[in-house]
Amino acid sequence: MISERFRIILLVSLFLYFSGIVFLLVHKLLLIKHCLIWLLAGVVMSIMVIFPDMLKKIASIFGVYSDTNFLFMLCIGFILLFIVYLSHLAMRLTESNRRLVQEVAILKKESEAQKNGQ
Amino acid sequence: MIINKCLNDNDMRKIVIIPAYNEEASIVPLVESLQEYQDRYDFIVINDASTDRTEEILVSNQINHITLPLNLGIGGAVQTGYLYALQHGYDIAIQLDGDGQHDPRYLDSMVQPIESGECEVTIGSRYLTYEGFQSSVFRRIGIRFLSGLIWLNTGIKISDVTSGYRAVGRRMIALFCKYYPQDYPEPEAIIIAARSKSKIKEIPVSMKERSAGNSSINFRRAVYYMIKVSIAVIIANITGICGGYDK
Repeated sequence: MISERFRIILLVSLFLYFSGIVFLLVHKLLLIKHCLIWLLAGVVMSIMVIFPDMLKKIASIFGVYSDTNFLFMLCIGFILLFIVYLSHLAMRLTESNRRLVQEVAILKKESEAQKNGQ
Repeated sequence: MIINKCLNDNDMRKIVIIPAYNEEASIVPLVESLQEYQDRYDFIVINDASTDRTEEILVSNQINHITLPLNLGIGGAVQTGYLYALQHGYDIAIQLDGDGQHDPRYLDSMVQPIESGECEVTIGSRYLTYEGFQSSVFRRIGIRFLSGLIWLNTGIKISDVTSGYRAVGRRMIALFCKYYPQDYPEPEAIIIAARSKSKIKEIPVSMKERSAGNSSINFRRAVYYMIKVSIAVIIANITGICGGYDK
């Protein structure tokens, strides 16, 4: 059971959360494709907070007695999954970086060879 | 093969940017169709790290091109073209897709309003005269929706917001070098242009169906596209209102 005070705190936090994301997007500090999942998470959280009975019902389906605990469990699970996704992104960036370094090195060599040839 | 400069120094220098990803079947027919315009237009193909024989064909036919070492997507490829245009002092850049859908016979009508100072951006629209290839019903519904969204945000009515057949003047070339959307860029680029106080004009064009190759848009991507582009349009508008494109 979520107290009214906690619901208000969550709603204010969600408002700040969405404002923060929009701020980062407008100032080009975040790519839209990377923030879509955060926006979706915010929407799901908002629904859960605005309709706490829905949260209670879903929590009981999963066998969780406390809806607050269920909410935190969802958040932690989501964060863990997102960290895995970020690890995948980091791997792709590492590979792109390596490829770019190799291409630059080869271009540099060809450029020097051309200069020496001249 | 296609590296001719404008013969008249007083004419505005114009370049056609042709982004191409895995277009081995359509790139040569396209470039051949551009031959008759080579006295007035320069051309540059941006090979977006194609995995087929596109690079081999470009080299063997001595087609002016830049090969990106990594795939950047349509936004990154077109922006590369704008960077090239800016660095080489071009006054007008025309984007013409490498899949053969855009008919070069409209090149002159696309650039004429920019040359005359009537506008800074022209967009070739399929939906002014409804001639030629019109794309699927679902795609047209999506385009109508985005067109409405752009109108709500800027007050500008553009019928073909996803058309990649567009021409821009020098100021917009410089702006797009700094700010160009990477994912599905066309609708967002209209917002950037509009918020930079750029006049935009639509020119009726007729497009062909893809001459070869496959579109990169499937159903799953279409859903992602609609959500992502809708948010991008709104955010780009807010960024523009806050002066984000004035820096």
